[in-house]
Amino acid sequence: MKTKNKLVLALALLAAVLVVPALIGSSYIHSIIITICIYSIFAISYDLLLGYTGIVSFGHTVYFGVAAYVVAFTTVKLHWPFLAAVGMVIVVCVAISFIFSLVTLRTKNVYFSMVTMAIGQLFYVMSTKLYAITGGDDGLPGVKSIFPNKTVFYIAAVLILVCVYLFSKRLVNSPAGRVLQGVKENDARIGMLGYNTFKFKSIVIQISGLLAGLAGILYVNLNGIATPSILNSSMTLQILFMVILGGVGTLHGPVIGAAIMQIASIVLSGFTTRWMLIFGIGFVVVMLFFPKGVAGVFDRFSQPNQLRKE
Amino acid sequence: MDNITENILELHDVETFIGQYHILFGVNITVRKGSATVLLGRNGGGKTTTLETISGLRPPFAGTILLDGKDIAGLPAYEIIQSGVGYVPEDRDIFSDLTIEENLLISSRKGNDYDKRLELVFELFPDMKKYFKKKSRILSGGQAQMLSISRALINDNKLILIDEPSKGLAPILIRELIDRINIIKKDNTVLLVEQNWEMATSVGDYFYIVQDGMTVFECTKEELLADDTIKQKYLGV
Amino acid sequence: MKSAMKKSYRYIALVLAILMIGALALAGCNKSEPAAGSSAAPAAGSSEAAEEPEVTGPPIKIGLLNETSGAYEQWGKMELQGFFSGLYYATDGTMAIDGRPLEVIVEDTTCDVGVGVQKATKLLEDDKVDILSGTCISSIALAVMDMAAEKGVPYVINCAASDDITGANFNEYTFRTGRNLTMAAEAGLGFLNEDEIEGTTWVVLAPDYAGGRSGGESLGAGVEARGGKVLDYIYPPMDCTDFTSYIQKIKSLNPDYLCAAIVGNNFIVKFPQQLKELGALDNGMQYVTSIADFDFLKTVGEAGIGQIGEALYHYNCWDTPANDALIQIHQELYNGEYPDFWAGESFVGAQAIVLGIQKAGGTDGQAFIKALEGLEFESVKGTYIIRAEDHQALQPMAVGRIISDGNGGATVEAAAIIPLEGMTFPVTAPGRA
Repeated sequence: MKTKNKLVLALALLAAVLVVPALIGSSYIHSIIITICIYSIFAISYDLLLGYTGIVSFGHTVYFGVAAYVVAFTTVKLHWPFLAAVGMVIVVCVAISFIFSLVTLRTKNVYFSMVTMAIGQLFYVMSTKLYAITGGDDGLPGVKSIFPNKTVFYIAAVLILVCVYLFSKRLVNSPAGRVLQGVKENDARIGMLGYNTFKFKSIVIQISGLLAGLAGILYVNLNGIATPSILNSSMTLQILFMVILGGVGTLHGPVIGAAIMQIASIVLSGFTTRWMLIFGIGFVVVMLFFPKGVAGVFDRFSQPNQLRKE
Repeated sequence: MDNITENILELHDVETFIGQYHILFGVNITVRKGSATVLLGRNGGGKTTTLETISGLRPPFAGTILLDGKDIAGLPAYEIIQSGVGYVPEDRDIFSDLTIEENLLISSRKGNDYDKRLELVFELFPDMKKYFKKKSRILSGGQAQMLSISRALINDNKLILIDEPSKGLAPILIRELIDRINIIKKDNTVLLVEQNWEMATSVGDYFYIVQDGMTVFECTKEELLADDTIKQKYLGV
Repeated sequence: MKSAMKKSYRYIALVLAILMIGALALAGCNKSEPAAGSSAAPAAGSSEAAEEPEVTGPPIKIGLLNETSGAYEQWGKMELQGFFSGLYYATDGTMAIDGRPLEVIVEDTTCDVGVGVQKATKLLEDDKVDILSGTCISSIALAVMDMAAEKGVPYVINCAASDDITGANFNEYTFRTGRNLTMAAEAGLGFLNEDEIEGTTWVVLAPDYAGGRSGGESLGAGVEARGGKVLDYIYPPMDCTDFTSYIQKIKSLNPDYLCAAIVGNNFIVKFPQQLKELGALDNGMQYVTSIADFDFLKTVGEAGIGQIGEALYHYNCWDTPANDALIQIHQELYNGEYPDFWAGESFVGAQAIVLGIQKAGGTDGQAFIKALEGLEFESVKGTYIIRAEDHQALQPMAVGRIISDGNGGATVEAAAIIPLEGMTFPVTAPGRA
């Protein structure tokens, strides 16, 4: 498909997503769209690591969850203004990405993934045990949304998602982005070209962490509460599914994956209480036949002349 | 003519471990500017390890490595590379997902006159121009080798390290490559490891025999060609 | 040729997979009722039903958040069935109040906070329910209660037990008719008089997670407040299967009472079994623990006979007209099933909602609040009073004892009933004491 046509299609889709739900006027649908946007941003941040830099982190939800808790704690318990809370989130996310960067230095591949999972679970356990600060299992409620209503919120969420997407696209197509893709393919070789791979990986870990933190801020605005469940490794796995289902290494794939998972769970749970089982089977089937994810399906149709040398 | 070193690279008593294995026991090499120096020797002698040590891929255990007078022993690879070293590994190792253009762009360092160097690359390897925008996974073995060398060439490096350039190439391609390297070595000094006798002697100006992790013999091209016993004694041919 | 063959195998596999999914979906469809999102009252056909009442006004919409699917779906089922039974009872079978029919919209939270909030958004903003109710999960309740208050919709919580709901997170639109964790802990000890606890020694045991620890601490605090001494707190991990080392420790401490806040199969079954096996109960140590639902009784079986503890609700413990009605209506509506556990609380919540609307003469939020504050009414466990300060329903609590049901299984009898006056926990809602 020509680039110009692609752009027109994208703009039309964007306009539809912005306008149609407002016309329908259902807050429920608005909240679903907001949720999709939140998980899309989260999934894009994960794809930057997984699909472009080749970093398989099982602790990524730490940023998401901690951001939610920081906002909840600072605004509800300390009565800080919202912008101050956001500032704190940035500080904390940078600190956490520093920790993860150090891990990349010391460990490789499987060991890296295991360590990141351990870090993730550490934060989860802290959230359940430090109940003086975190409210324990029940979580920290009482967060007031900065958006006056769901309509304004969803429009803002869509626009934020578009910005995140464009920013990420810019990043991966930049010279620095190419280096990252080189890191994914062969870390040592990129070093042999004169690139300080640690520096590059640190930067992408930081950016990805901040984006996940942004998703966490939006999450706690929507739900009004931060609970340990968002720090659990099952959350990271959910995001992993979204990215792979939608198409890893594409940036639009994660958005598709997030949308599919949200909508499928809602539609399916309306039919049966066994929807999770069906979803799991469906997921396996899709992966068997479309290993590049849903985005891969469309790619096949748009590039028939691609040279293949398998 | 002060402060211009004649030797672009000097190794003094370099020792290297791989894991717990003591591979290099004392390597002494001098690479003169504007020439091609060849490391010869049987398999497993430590030739590739020597190149890896120079490039920073493996930190040396002992010894000094002077690049243009500056000791680079123990520096991380990216710093050594940024000091003006190009590395062409044995397995080519190009980024197959990227196009030729992207492979070259990514190799081009800050401050490099990319366009000028690209012209040189196109002159030496016209196939690079032909497939410039194509993904490099479509290249044949020989073309991949050319790309690998082009990547080292895209920067005006002081020194280019090449590990077995003729490996897997058809004889006609080897002869073309000999011509190219003879051109390259003048402006960008070359240090190569080579098993192929024809290439080694057509390109090399100075030779070191590396055996059991040590440099055991050195000579010029003339000396090597004049004395058959060297070949028999060290290379078992 | 080979790859073409492979391709057709793939498509066969794909078709089979689709068929399998379809079959599962159909099988799942006939499961529990009502399916999420529906607004049906369960099929009547009960002798309680009066004649079709005349409709004199717009329907009253009640939104019910429910754990219809997910880890807690058994509890969701109990809450749902008790709730409808309560509506039935309170409206004399008409499912209408003052000529306005009741429309109950049930939404599945899937045990997830995010989904719970989405569904609450739907109920509050799209369906515009007059009254909101439901959920067993405290974090969902805590998130939703803020939303309901913002919309000015009263929210009656039947089951979710966190103290903060009527404590630190209090708002005037939220009511809770179920018991909170402090009440549960108090009841657990309430069967002993002050003199009986005074001077006694205790060991408190709970699984090592936030709920277990806070439950354990409440128990310990209750003991010490009554003059007892807690020798030790023991927190085995939640997935512990071999309690030998912990039991040895308990034996060596030799307390008068062993009190456990238990959750999870291993604790419920294996722990008492191992206690017996290791002879820990031979010295007269009394084992005190919460008594839960039918599943709990089935799993603990013979090993549990003799256990004493707080019983949130078991139909055999109460002798009131409302309880009899609950059992009867529940069995009529739900294939002869006895009401279980949470049903005893959601029945009360439903009843309170109906009473509130009747007393307020409509569904205006502020009027409803005024109607419920201080409301005293008779229900399953006897007299309930909704405390005006924190909207928590004061109520009698049962201490149950597990006994044999004569059929090799276990049931519960009331070892002691703590009257409403015996519940003395303080008001912790900020600014409301």
